[in-house]
Amino acid sequence: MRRTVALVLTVSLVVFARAVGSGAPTRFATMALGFLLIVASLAGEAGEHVGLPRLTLHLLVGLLAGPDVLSLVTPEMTKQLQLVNGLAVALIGFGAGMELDIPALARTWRPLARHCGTLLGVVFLGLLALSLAASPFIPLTASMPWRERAAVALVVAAVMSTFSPAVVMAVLSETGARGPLASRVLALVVVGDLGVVVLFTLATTGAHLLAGDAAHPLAASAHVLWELVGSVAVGLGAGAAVYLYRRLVDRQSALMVAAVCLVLAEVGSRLGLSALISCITAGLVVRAASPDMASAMHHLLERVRLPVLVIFFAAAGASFHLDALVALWPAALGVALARAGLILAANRVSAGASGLTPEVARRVPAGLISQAGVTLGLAVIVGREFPGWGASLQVLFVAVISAHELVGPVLFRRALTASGELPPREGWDAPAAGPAPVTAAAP
Amino acid sequence: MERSNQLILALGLVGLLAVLGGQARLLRLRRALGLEQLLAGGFLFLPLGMVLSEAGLGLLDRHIVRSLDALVTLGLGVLGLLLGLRMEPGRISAAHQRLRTAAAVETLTTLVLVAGPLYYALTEMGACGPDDALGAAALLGCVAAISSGHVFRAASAEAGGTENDVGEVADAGTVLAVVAAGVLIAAFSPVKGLGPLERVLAVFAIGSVGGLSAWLLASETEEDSLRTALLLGVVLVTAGTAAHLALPPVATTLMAGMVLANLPGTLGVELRRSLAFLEPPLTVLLTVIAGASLRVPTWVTAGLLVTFLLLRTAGKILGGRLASAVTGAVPQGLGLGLLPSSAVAVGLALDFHLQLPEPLVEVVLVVAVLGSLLSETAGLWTTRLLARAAASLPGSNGAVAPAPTPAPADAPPGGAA
Repeated sequence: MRRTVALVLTVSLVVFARAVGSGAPTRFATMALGFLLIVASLAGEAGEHVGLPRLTLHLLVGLLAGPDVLSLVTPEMTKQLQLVNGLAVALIGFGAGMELDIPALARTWRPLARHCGTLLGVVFLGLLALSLAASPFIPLTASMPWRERAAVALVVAAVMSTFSPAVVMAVLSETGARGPLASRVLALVVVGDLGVVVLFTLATTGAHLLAGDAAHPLAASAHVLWELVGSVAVGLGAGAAVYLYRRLVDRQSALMVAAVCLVLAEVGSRLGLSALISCITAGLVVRAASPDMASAMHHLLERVRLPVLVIFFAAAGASFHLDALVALWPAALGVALARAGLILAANRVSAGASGLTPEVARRVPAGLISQAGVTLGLAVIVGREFPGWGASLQVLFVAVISAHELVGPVLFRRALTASGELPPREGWDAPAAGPAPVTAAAP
Repeated sequence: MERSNQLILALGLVGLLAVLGGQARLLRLRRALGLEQLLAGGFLFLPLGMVLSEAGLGLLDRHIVRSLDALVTLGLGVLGLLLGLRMEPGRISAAHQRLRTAAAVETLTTLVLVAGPLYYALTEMGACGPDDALGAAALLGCVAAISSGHVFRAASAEAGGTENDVGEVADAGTVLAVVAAGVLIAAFSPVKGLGPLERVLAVFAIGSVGGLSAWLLASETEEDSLRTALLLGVVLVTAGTAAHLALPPVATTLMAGMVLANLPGTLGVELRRSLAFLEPPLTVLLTVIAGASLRVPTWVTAGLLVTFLLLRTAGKILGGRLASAVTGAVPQGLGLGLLPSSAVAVGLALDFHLQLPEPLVEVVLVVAVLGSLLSETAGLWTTRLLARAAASLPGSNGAVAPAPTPAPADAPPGGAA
């Protein structure tokens, strides 16, 4: 009841300001951002009552507030939120890195590598085969020569093989889930993210070769090497800096991490590095150097994480291309179903060798459906690198990502609930205990 | 370089420097030199803002500064809210009433003593009309009246005292100055369809609605991070509404904080604690933005700056003596402890200077920002002197002027709460 009254009061402020004010658009944006933060936070919490992940509700609120529906958030405003987006991705990466228990992972690297390799391999090759088989019947590719069709298929398969560490981390963080399913899914998406960077570069290199563009392959190969090695190197340095700072100074450590994350996000975009990989590496260094410090820093970051994530996912919702989803939904649905089927099949194939119990193993695919920032970034690269058909594919990817971003978190949360990995809830306000540490998954 | 990237890089650098400012050796050096507050306050970040500005490295050009509007509004809003949250009902006792009276006397003295001569000087310069000169002089008076309670508390703790009265006077005086500035800015703001009185009332109404909303939302939320998210949302809406109407965000959220602190329960205290971690980074941000907005002062502006500093010092010392004479609850040297200024002064100047006509924009910003910074520097030593004197008073346990505090009904015999 109190919250309803508060919302009515807040809406009355916004309405009053809109009616009377004539200030700069940026100042209206401040107000709209605050309103979005309140509504998305409350919606996220209310979603828990019906078993929905908070971030799905944040996305939906953003979608409603976005340019396609209520226009409370304009495209210009979502561009202005780039600062928050960069910070959010970097914080997510840093948090994910701090959850990775390297000694435990080292003990179980074989089943994890088999699991991840099978998943990526089956999904990639399956999508490649399906795309090639369907290419004569798709208007975009029907008139293309077979080499160019193969190039398109390669790119589709690589982009659609990605997972979403950001969404998985966010769901684990908000639910406080702990257990073999949470650990394995987090490990798979983080390791898979590294694999996908390589896969995507190899695929785009192949696509350029098939399209007869000889200049690009070398440049692309050099780029992937730089992105992987450079990101890890920058992350190692940043992680060491954070560790030393915390050990020697130990003041305003959360601010230090936020500042490092901002710099990594910027350095990443300017130098062609992956901020996500850099931040995962940095978090990993802190965790490896001192698990206690990682735990303490996790609690420090918890206070700023929710507001940043709410704005990040609400802004992502506001950036949804509803028009693309409406126009391309049959194709998007086809790709999404094919991908889901391949993930299920790959997981079934590798379940025996995954080191997980059958009960846990069969729920893993639910955590792998989500796609978000990484996939979107690759879609943008495709649009830029393949000027002819890349733009059309980019729209298709955005439509598929939009669907996955909405459905994926719901499926993952349901799987976590079913596996009994959610902590017991003490009333509606039970605090999230943070994501599960990625340790050896119980066989 | 793309603007958003410039922005992120600049903020990242600022953040890194902010935390490196707390490096252990640097802290020891600062303590040895008696400069604890300097690097954490303005001396590092104001020049940094100037270096990053359009005239310097160009990382924080005017477009970038404008695109940081939401963050600046958030910073102003949070500072105002935290200030308002200090005005909780538990502190309204007979002793505190006297301290507040002392604060009112001192604030009014400083405001009048600074604004009067500056008004005369600005009208004599002939660069603007009398109304604009009045607005600028009154704003500078409000900026001058602001003091930092934190600096005295830190100095008192360092001297081994437990004195907080000067800090209380500084906080209460700052609240009064911000309210006065809010009324002033509201009266000057160009809102269509609202008269000056309606605009002033709008500041209080928006603040009250914001405070009530925050209380309603926070009182039903136990989870700390969710509460922080909701509060930040309310601050953004309240401060954003004020900013959209060209009203002062600091005064509006200060009102919200006061409402929040005085509603039933201990929510105000809890919220002040849970939001305190935002104060240092936002202060750094505001200081850097102020630095990036500064231009090299002309001789005339430099003259006004010196005048401002002299008048402010005189106002604080005279105001302290008057307050001591009127209330008997504070020492005659109160003004020495009130010399350090705070980030709120910089925030007020940032908030209001753009509403002034062009010739006054630079003058007010330079005088307010550099004046606050230099006052803080000078005030560090005077504050320490006062704190040491207070701590050395026999039998007072460091209190400057032990006011007759009535013990609460549930207090143990011989011990005040």
